[in-house]
Amino acid sequence: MLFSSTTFLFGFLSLVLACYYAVPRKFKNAVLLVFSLVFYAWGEPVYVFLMLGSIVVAYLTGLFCDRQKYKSKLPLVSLILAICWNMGLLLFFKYTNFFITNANNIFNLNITPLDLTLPIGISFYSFQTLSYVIDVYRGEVKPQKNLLDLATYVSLFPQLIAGPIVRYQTIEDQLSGRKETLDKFARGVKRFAVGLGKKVILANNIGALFEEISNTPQADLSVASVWLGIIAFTFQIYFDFSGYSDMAIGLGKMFGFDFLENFNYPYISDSITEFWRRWHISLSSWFRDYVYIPLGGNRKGKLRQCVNIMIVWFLTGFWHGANWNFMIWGVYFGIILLCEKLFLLKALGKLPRVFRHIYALLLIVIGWGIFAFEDTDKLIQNFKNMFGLGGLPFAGGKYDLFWFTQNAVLLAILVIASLPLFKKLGEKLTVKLPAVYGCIIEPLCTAGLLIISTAYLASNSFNPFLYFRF
Amino acid sequence: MEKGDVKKASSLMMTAVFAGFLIFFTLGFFVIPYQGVNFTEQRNYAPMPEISSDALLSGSYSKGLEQYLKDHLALRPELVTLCSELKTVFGRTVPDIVFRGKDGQFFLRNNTIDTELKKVAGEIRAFAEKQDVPVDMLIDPDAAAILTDKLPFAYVGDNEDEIADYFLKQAGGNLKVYYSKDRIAELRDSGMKTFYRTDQHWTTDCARGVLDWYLSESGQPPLTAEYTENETASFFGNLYSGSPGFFDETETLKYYVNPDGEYHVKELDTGLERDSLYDMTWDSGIRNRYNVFLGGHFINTHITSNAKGGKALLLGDSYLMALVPFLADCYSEIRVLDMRQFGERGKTVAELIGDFKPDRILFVNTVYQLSCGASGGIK
Repeated sequence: MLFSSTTFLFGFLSLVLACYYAVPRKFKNAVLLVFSLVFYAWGEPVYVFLMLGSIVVAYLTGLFCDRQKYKSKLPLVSLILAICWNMGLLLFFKYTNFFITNANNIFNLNITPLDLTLPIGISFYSFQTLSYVIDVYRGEVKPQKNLLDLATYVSLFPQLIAGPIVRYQTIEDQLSGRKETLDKFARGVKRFAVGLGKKVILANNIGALFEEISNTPQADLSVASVWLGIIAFTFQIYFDFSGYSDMAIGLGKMFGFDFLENFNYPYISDSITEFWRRWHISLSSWFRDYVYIPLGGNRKGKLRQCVNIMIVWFLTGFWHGANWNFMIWGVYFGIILLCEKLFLLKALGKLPRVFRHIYALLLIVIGWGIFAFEDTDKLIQNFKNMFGLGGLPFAGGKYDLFWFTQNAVLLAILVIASLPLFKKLGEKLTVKLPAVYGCIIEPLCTAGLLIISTAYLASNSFNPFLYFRF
Repeated sequence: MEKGDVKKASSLMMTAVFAGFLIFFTLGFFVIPYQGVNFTEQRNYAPMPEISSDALLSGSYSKGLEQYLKDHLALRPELVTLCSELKTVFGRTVPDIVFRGKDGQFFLRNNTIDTELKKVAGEIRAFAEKQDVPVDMLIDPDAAAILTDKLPFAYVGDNEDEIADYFLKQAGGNLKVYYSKDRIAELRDSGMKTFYRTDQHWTTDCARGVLDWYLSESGQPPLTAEYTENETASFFGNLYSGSPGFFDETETLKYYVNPDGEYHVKELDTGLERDSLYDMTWDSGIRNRYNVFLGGHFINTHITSNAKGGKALLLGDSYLMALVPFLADCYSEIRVLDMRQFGERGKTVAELIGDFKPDRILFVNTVYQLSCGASGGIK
């Protein structure tokens, strides 16, 4: 089920809120669990059993991972079992066909790819259950003895299918001792409305431009229009994914949870290092804590650090999908981050901020140019086009002026919405006009966003969500 | 107010807004009476999907329910209109297949598919070669090719002229091709309203103007019947339904009646018969008035009249509908076939017309319908 759907908004959400606030405290997690399973099973009923299996495995391995309690090798065996289960599922469902196709190509084999559908959200909940078991093994959290609470954590519908990757330690206490307040609920509503607006009003509309440019015959394109297309995708993926994260965080607050932030205005970054501190924070911190640091991080010399960085970024790319473009994308950022770590950041520090910003944006946009095309031929063609090697004119493609004029206002709005301007304005108004802003302006803007988003939902059929496929 | 009170009041307001939003739209599904047809968008509403284990497991139930809920959303027409107005405010008038130009003029955005164009042209030529009577093809442009001054800034249309040229080159033997663009441009320059503002079709006056030109060019006798002019009640056309606005103005449709004409219309696919070329049940409510011509239905329709001409087989798309009342006064017997059915149903013309032996065959198509393959599959 998509958050940006009428089924969710006016069916599921209304019902789950009503039930959640109607039952006593001790049944609240049960309500969340039941509704989360329905939410997951809505579009994909069969795979709900796979997720339940993961929950049971995490529960049992978590219990036996406790090194304080068991002094034998049982915790290590349990940890290995949990890793094998989660990585096994992920490898099987997400990567089997990729390996088969490549083995066929390389070794000239004729193995038939399996008829597999990727279970929604498997990349997210596998990482969550894995982090739980690892944290128990490390002694950072206590094993959860209540299966219902653990199941609620793993299946919690706000973050179930597209993150943010909520670590168990973040909400360990909240699972049993959270407090729902009017203030938190209101903040959740505001956050949800902003996320819905980002997704439905901004991401879907600019996504339509990217779709149109990508589907335009080569002869009608120009270098400028190809860049316009990739810039459109750059905005689409940000507003799509951060909008979904905002909705998840907002929904979490409505049920009394506080999830960590997943985005922090990534397009204002001055370097790629900074970008990755602001983009999909829950994923990069997961890889940092569960891959980079265990590999030795920066503690074993420069060379080892470089190798560790490249491993992490290769895996980051691979996590995004079973396609070469994602791996190239990961390695691309790995190389840039290495360069920045070794010498580039120092050199950039001497430049005026505007140049650093242009540098970062350019590399980010090129990165999305890799990310956007899973078809290798299309990817290569797009890069040739972007850098003037595709035989296209620099400007003056058939639709250049039309596309630009049709989307100029939207692009301006997207640029503004990528900056923390509204956030700062809100903070100022909260201080200067607390009553007017809090009681009138903010609720009115929220109502407006909700109504306009519903209007777009009612009208448009173009409502993809990019991060579902991961 | 104290700081704490302000915070409490603002939280209360925000919660009230959200609760109101959810309650209004959720209860709306139950309170608003069920409607089967959406007249603003001129389509049937999605029905409530049936629950079955197969539907649940395959995900088709969830998809069906989403469409049902979307269609039956409270204030749906107003929400769709709001969305369309916002697109105009953003300057994004052409994100969809229907777009708004200047002066409230709506257009249909067409995307040409050249492979289909060649396929359709080949089929029509092969069909014509098999006939032993004159086969004429009247190709008509759409509003975007004629009302260029009303198009949005920098709009790039499809290559209508190139497509028409391609068909003009197919002429030969008993196949003659006529492209009406210049004639319609003349009519436009004379001050005639050639296309509806809110509908993709040509006006009745424009259709008549093109018919007179075609009859003259093809060496057929001119239409001499005297008509009385009538006008429907005001309406919004098909295109308006794709991008409605709060401030758009309605328009009317002219239709002409020959007081001396006697007609019998029989829909062979439904068995329905009537003695009028018009179905005035469409001239009520907020229905699309363009359907007054033959009730918008011409899958396989047989018409006889007291005209003196021979028999004609007419094949085409919806542009043909506005011509039929005039053509019924040119020929004593006509058979009208909707070309868009051939690809879908796989029937041949011979199967559809049986022992009807036409003296002339006329295709009436828009460039778009030909180029996108919608009129393909003729045998």
